[in-house]
Amino acid sequence: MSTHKVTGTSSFRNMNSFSDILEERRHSSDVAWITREWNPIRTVRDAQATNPIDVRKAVLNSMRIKEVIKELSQERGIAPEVLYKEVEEQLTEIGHNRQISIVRWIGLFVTKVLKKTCSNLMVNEEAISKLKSSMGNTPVIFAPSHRSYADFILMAYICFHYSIEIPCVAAGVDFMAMWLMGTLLRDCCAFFMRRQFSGDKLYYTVFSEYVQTLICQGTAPVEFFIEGTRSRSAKSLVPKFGFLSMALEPFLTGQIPDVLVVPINISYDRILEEKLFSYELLGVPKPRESTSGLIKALNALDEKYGKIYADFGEAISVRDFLKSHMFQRSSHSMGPIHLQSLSDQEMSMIRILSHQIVRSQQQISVLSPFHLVAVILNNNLLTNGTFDMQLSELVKEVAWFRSVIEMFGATVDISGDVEICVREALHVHKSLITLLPDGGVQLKAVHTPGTKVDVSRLKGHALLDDTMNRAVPLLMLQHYVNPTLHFLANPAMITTVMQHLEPSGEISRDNLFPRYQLVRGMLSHEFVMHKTWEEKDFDEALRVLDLVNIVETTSAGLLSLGNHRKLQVLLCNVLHPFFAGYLALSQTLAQVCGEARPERLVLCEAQRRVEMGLKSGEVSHPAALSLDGLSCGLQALVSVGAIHKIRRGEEVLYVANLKELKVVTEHLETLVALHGMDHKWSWQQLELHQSLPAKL
Amino acid sequence: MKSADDGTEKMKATACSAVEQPRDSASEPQQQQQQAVCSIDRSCVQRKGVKNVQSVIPRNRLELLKWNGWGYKDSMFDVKGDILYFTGKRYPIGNQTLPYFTDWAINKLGIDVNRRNRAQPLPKPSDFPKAKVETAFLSELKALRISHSIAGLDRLVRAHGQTLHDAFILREGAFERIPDVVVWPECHEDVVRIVEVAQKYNVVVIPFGGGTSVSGAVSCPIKEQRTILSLDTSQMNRILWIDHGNLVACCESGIIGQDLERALQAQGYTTGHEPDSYEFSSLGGWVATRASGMKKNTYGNIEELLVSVRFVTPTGVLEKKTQVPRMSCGPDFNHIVLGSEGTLGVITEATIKIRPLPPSKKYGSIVFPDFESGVKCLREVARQRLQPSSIRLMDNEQFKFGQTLRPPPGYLGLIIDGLKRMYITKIKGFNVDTMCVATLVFEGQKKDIEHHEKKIYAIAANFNGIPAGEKNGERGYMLTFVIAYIRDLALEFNVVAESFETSVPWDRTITLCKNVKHRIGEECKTLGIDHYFISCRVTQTYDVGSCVYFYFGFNWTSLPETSDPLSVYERLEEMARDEILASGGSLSHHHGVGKLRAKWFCGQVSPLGVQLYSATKKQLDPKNIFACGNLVHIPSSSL
Repeated sequence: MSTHKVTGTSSFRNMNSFSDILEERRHSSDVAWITREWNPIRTVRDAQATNPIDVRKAVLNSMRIKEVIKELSQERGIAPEVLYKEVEEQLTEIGHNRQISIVRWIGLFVTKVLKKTCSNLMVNEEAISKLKSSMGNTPVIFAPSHRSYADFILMAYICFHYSIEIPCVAAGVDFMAMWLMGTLLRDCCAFFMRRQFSGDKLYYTVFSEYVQTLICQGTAPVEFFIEGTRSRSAKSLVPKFGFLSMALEPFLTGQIPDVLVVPINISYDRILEEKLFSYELLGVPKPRESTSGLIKALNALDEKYGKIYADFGEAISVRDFLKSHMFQRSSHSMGPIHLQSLSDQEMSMIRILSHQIVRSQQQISVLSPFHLVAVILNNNLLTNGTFDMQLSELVKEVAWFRSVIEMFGATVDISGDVEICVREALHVHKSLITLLPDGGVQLKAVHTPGTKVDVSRLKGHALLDDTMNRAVPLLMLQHYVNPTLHFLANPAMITTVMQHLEPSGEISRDNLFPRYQLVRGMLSHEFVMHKTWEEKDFDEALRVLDLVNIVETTSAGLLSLGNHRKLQVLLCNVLHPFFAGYLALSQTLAQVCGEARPERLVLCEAQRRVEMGLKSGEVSHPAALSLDGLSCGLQALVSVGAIHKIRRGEEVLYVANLKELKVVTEHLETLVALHGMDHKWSWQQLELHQSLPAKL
Repeated sequence: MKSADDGTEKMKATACSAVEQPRDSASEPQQQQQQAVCSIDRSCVQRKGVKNVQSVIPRNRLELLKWNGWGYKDSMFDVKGDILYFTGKRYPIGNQTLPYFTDWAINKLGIDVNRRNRAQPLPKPSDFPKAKVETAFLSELKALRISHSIAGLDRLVRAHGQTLHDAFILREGAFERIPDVVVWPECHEDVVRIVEVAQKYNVVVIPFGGGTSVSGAVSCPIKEQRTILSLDTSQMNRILWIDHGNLVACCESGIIGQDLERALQAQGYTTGHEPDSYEFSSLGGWVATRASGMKKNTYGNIEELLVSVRFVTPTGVLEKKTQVPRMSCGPDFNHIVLGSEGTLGVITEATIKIRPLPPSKKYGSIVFPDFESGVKCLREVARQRLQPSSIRLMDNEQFKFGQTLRPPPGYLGLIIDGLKRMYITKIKGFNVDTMCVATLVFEGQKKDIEHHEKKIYAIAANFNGIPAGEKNGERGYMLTFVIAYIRDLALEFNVVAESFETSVPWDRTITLCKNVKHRIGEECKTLGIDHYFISCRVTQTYDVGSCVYFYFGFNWTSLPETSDPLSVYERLEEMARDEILASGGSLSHHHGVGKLRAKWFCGQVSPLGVQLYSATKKQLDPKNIFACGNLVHIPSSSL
């Protein structure tokens, strides 16, 4: 019947379906809008738990809570009443509130701030109306991408705008500790989740029952960030399964007929936390969540942040998803419902689904002109060893690259004159890029030399000031390169592999595939690619590479590189920092992990090696310093069997499988060595535009 | 005992004991009337204390019953002017115009009373496929003096049950395969001989009882190349003996429900077994499909009623040699017979429990604000094991539908109706679009009933249930029998409909109902079906769960030309079944598996279960004579 399209290339989108929801606000009374009569559409019309008190009651009276209390009271010799009290306290900690008056006040404030700092808030209205038409009798899960704290607020804001019930959103307890903020978030339907709780049976039961009650009996969408945390690199993170499996359990055990999961992408022209993230990636930890910190951050609201784009992907019916994977539900007919637990097969389905959600988020992302500018500048740096570029040249290159990346499936928000768009983008990002009066473009020094860093709180290696000086702005730039990589990664892998072919330069599809698989296996954590999509992704990448003349089919039916040299170079360059980081990592591991070593030590050592490599010219891009990237590398090496991961309590240790590691290292060496590419870039030559010292 | 015989029984006894001139059917081979051989002078006919029962259903079923629809020929929904009405006098709503029902059918199912699809006429003798049967085999039957027929119509009548598929084909198409020969054995020994001959000639035997199967159980497997013989048990309908001391009766398997009840009640007894089909279904069919009766709370389901059974298989007769209340003697082989669905042998006789007629019977009803409250109440009643003979809960859809099946009330009736409605909706605050009703049947001593009622209504009050009177209860049960006639009407107006059922643990009852309705609703939406009806009722309650019965029908006018409503329905029902299983329900509570649900059988009983069944089959029926193909499809080559 309805064969739901769960995988596959994104259907053609364009910016016409988007509307700027700030536009209206600029021409009419904010107060009138915010105080309007508000009758939101609900996920399930006739659901029972229509308010937070009902939810709380339903959880307290649930069979599962009763049973776990009985069990724990016997086990621990504690009176059930005591445990009930504990449950009530936990529920108070977890529970969301729904104060529409607070939502309205915050909405008013947010409207003012958005109007001041952002040029547009673009929302895909076609997608919203499609979503609304499918709401009414099935629980809905919102799964937005997570790039900024602003995601929380924007989701509620957009829902308020379109009269969708404010989603109940899962937030980390660290927010709760913030004075006032915790309460405000709670009033805007946030509920709180402890970071680590797998060991605490009572809390686990209470929390999962809470989530399941929201799903089964609630009237609001349940929202959670599938990546678990804000992505510091602006690349998607490998999805977490815990929350999703909790939320899908009622469906898998037959308590509800279906669940709709809506992948949502929020793309930013410029991210509020851009600088903080660069420091975090280098190992300088984020300040603790605090209200004073937030107020300080509000100073950042004097700046301009350009456009924000929100798109709601096609809702994935979990039922249809399982059906398309030939998966039969019905294994939970025995025993009481509260004792059911998900099978390994079900967990692996959830894993695929999670990846599917993330991929869908990537497909519905919007690239702004600055993302393209970042790719071009970065590429210029890696190819020509200099950052400097004339604006006219930059505009030309952006226009060219835009046509390429659109062919690769991306949606780019450039309409009309490219130069105007590029100028606007540079203006928004003037804290990072300077447009000189002579039309030259330069990277700014954003790191304040001598900034005191609390070494004891460092997560990585204590990098030299000189390194930081160059690395911080380049990582900020990389932050804007990264969102494009979801469209480039697969073609880039194939291009890289084909750069390293034997002299004949020809290869059959079937011989190319395993080589691609090898590279992909290494990068699958970095770019969130599920193993089961290998073949499909490969064929799709070959298809587009053929379209852009990178790969040609010879008369003998073999594949060879075409004549689009410029794009080949660019594609190789975008992956290069990752391979360089992984190479340094595997060399480090070979050196230090003869016996089990803790993760932190491995990462520190790897960073140190990269820093040395940057100095000596062996490593050409500081993105290799990224702790996120190195962690992905660790996961990849674990999955290919080059190292083993050992858990000892809270601590994670790694030990090398030297034989396998050697093979991987050699492979990485060949990938890093850029055959035939003239590399003039040297770290030491990078000149930064010194302006007023930027503050951290 | 003789004195208890009523006139009709005597008549039948005389007719049967008189030696009729055996008609030589060979002398009139191509005659279209029944080519029957009646042979009476056999040892099996007379035994001491045997009660011959005059069946309401004649041997030529079409004299009384529809050939292409449910039930009696004189009872059906019809259109008079623009209004629907029910014909005949058999049921309380007979000869009454039904304006509310008409509105309901128009609004809910989108029917147009002026556009009617007439069914095809009764096929002509030349329309039937030629009977594929060896003359030698027929001669053997003749020699055994077993009446039989190869007339097309006789074969057609026994080629189907009462599934939507069957009704559809009868109205608009033709069965690909019908039996080649019909036999009417008159006693156990006849059956033994028939099975022997069938085994000898490698002829397939499909037992046929009341013809009310809704699982495709009596349909002929299309690919079956061998001769198919339909073994009609209707002429084996005697009560062989009644044991007053132990309250058991031994009956032949072909006796149908209403005949059995009438005959027993004449003697002050009842079986208490009342499946909704009991007007037409037979004792043997009940045992073979594990039937369930409405009043099982008092009397038990068929497996509890059954004391012992005679079962004729190609390798011998399986029967217990004692008539004891229970025994610890290895596995109970009654359970090989129960649910065997005609795949292992034929049931010829069954000894069942009987009960003295209850002195008093009373109906009752309770309205609930919503279905959840109703289910919770039924669960509590079951927890306290306080079920009356029957307790059923209809959902809101069915409640509303039930309200339409009545004639327009008179002037006063309107006022009273209005007042009742006021009380329920305004004073009690019930929502007309969520409320639902439970119907009750109490049986026993008057005082006990009163006491029982009080307890039930007290429990109901805890779930916001309000007693709604005897009338509503009685109507509910009456409607059960009438509802079965609606499908034939529906088919005339582009509506296909069918019922299906399941059993489910208590903690999943509500979610199962919701899930199935949700699923059907979503699928109808994707198919662009605007008018459909999906409704359920909880019809039985047990210690550990309930039985849920669904009605589903839709108007297929909006479907594209290319899609065939029957296969769309079957696909939707299949999805509903998948949803039922995923929601923790069973494949069937009492309809059985048949061919319709065979694909899920293994999933319900485990692969080893299927192997165990197959091993039994191999032992009892090595040549696969009973090849109707129910439960498990067994290719003949594997045996």
